[in-house]
Amino acid sequence: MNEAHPFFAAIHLSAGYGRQPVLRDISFTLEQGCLAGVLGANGCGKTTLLKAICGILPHAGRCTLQETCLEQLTPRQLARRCGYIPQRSGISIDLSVLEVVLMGFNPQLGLLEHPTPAMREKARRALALTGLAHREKDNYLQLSEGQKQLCILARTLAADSQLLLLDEPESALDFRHRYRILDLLRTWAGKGNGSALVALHDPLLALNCCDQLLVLSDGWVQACLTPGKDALPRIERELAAIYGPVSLQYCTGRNGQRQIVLLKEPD
Amino acid sequence: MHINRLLSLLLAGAVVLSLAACGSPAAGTATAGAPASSSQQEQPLLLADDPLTPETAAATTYPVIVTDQAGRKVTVSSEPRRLVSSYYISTSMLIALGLQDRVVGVENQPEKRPIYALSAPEFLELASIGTAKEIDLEACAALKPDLVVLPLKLLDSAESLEALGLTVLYVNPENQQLLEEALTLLGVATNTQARAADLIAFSDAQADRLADVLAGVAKPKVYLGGNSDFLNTAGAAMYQSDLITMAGGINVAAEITDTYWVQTSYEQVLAWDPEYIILASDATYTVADVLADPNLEGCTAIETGHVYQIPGNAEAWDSPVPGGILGAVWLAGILHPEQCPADETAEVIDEFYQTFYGFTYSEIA
Amino acid sequence: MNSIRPSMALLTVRSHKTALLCTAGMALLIVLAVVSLFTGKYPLTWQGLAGGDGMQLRVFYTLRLSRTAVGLIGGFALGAAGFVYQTVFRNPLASPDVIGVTSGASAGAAAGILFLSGAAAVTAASFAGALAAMGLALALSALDQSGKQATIVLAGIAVHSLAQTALMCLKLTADPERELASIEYWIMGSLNGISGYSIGGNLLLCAVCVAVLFLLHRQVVLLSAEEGEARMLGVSVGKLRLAVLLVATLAVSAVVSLTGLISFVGLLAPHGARLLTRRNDAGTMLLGGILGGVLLTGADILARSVAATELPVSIFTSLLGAPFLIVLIVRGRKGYE
Repeated sequence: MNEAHPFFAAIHLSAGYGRQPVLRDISFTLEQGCLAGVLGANGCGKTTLLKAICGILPHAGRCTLQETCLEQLTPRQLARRCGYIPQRSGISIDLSVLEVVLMGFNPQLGLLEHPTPAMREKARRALALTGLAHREKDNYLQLSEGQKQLCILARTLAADSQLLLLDEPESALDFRHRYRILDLLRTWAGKGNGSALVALHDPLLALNCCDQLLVLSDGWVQACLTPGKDALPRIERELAAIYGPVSLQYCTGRNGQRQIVLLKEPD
Repeated sequence: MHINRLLSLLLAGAVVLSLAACGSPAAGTATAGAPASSSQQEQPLLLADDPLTPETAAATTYPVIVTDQAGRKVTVSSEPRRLVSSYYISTSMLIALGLQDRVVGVENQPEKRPIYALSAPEFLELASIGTAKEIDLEACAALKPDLVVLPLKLLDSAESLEALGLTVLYVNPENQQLLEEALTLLGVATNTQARAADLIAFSDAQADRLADVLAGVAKPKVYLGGNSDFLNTAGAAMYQSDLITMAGGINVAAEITDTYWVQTSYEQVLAWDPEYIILASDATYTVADVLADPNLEGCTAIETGHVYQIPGNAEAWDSPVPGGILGAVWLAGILHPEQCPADETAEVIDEFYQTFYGFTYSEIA
Repeated sequence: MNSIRPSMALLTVRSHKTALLCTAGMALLIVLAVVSLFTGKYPLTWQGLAGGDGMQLRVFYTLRLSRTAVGLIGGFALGAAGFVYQTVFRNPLASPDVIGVTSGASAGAAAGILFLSGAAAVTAASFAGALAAMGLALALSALDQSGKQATIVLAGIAVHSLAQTALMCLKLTADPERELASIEYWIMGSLNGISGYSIGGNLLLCAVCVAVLFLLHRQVVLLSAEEGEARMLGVSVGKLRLAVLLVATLAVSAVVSLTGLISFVGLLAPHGARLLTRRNDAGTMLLGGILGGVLLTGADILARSVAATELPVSIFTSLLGAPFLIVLIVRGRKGYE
């Protein structure tokens, strides 16, 4: 994968609602197998960026995935390549968890076709991966918000997308599941399946789990960070634009793994 | 949750059962609101139960107090010179009573009634004061009528009209008896008692004649197809049913007690198997339609071709117009041609229209 | 593209409970169908039918059988189409009227009664009216490229009131004694007057549309997701929604133009099915159709037998529907936002 043909590239993206611009001329690239986080204050355009990439929002500029221009694809072709997990799923009728996961195979099925047994098996494996193995027959609407997120994640993982777009998947999850979901994504990306772009609310999660971080501020990419490689003072400086003064420290866990911790400094 | 579900099912079930127990919920709503007999015991001037006869008919002395068919006591202070009517039957009565020159306002769309063109063409040019269901109060008042004749359905307008200083009579000619009452009422109120008496006597004489000549004949089964739909028919309580009986037929739908048109089914018609099918005068479908209807195949009337429509060249004879008796006269001619030959029937019809409406029916039919 | 294997998967009802309910519903439907075949004003006997009595056979085939068929197929179609409307619009109260179809059918029928003659012409006119209303609503909504669901609802409301206005104008010009009565009676809805000579095309269209709806069931469920989400599941939301609504509406138009307006079946049957199964799979849709058939056939049996005359079938479907709706409101709108 060379510099001229990155795995994914967003080129001069601008988008907004009505006449109100939210994203202004954003460009960035992602390597294959990379888990990228998007950080930014509320209203800075995280969701807008994800929606623009997956074509739900009209936008200027273009996105390429393995040299294919996403804007030129039909919804079906796009859905085969990109999976999107909104903050809250819009499913509002009684469906079983398994039925929700099977929805993810739609782009691979003809109009009148139904999921094959192999797809069902795959869907069950994805549910097991997200810890919902025992819930497949339950009513999706009766799951907790966090479980719903896990179910939708299973749907996306099962569908073999190359690019996953997740909008604050951790927001409804408890502490343990937050790490679990990012671990899942990392493992998925690490296997070379593709890349994930995750809007995150929690900077700690972003710093410790993501290979790459986009810091959005006021519709711009203010910085592109690599948490594992960049020096802490630089990261502190860039994060200060969003969170105010912060300081970062390395801390070593019991397994000897180094993690970053974040402290809020007085304004 | 399960209990709720059970309850909801039970509730739904109970509604159906209670409904079934009540029999027919939509049917049986009477349309005629007022009592047929409007006579009050202390009312000396008009006994509505007692129609005028040539012997009792006299000149009216004004002011006169009459009881109209809504049971209201109305004082008519002097002989009315300006009349309005918003109902085709009462309008036709005014012609039959020889009052067409005094009529200054009639109902909407008078061109729909051929009898006006035949006997009072000036009605087509008159101001309209509303319909049988709705009256235009201002238009009515603007005509400065001495007497307003309205159908009972418009009783709600009584107060408004009285407040405008108008004299209003309500009529309710729903059957032959009520028709005679209405004629008597108008005859007294407008000083045309002799003419009213003649009209009543003509109808009575024809009814007697039919009863005479048809005594003892075999009565065929008759199905009456309604105005809006062939599957609409008239039960025993309707005027149209009396007409069939007077003409020496048996109304197959006589078991139905509703006072308005009711919906029946092809199956029911086939089960009744009428020998004659008679279509209402204003039917929206034709004799040919009925004869060609594949669903009626096998019905005796269809097989024998005995399907006829009540003529409406002058008036709808299946409604209680002053000439309503002619419907029975005509139908008797269809059902019993031996007892009631065609020339005799034509003669009666001509006589009626010549006497009361001033034209010759056989020339227009 | 993978091989198409819809038929079996379609009817593989995966829930044991749903399968049981569907079986029970089918049994009830069959019982009602038999009752319906032998309920009516013309006396039919086994001996007469077996013995080849010409009149009895004619009544049986042209009248009784066709009326029963319309009750079964028509009710089924209304129930299944209702399921589709409610799912696609994510609204438990959605019905063909959401896109103005029934008012279009009424206006069409009124025009047919006024300007044409014969029952077949009225059926054709009402079908044309329903199609015109649907076409107008969908065309209006297609003007908005964003494909938002609210656009269809708004367009539907506009078409609905347009059709109501047209109906009012037609009623105004109608002769109160003759045509107005016919219009009113048509609007009340009845399976009376249906005969084997006039129903073939409508029932065929109805059956085809219902079959297509079942084939499209998976897509219908996808449409129930939020627009962005459905799009990211590879659904061309705007086009698919138009197609699904078109098919459902065709089915409803085919029934309604034969029978006149029939209230509550399309609302009640799918709801009953959902309340009973708490699911939205193809089995639930099937159960909705079965309940629709049960409701309409049952109501029609009552309509033709409780009185000496024919009563409007909607009286009975509505009397069943109203308490059901109240129960629904009391239970709260579980399962919907």
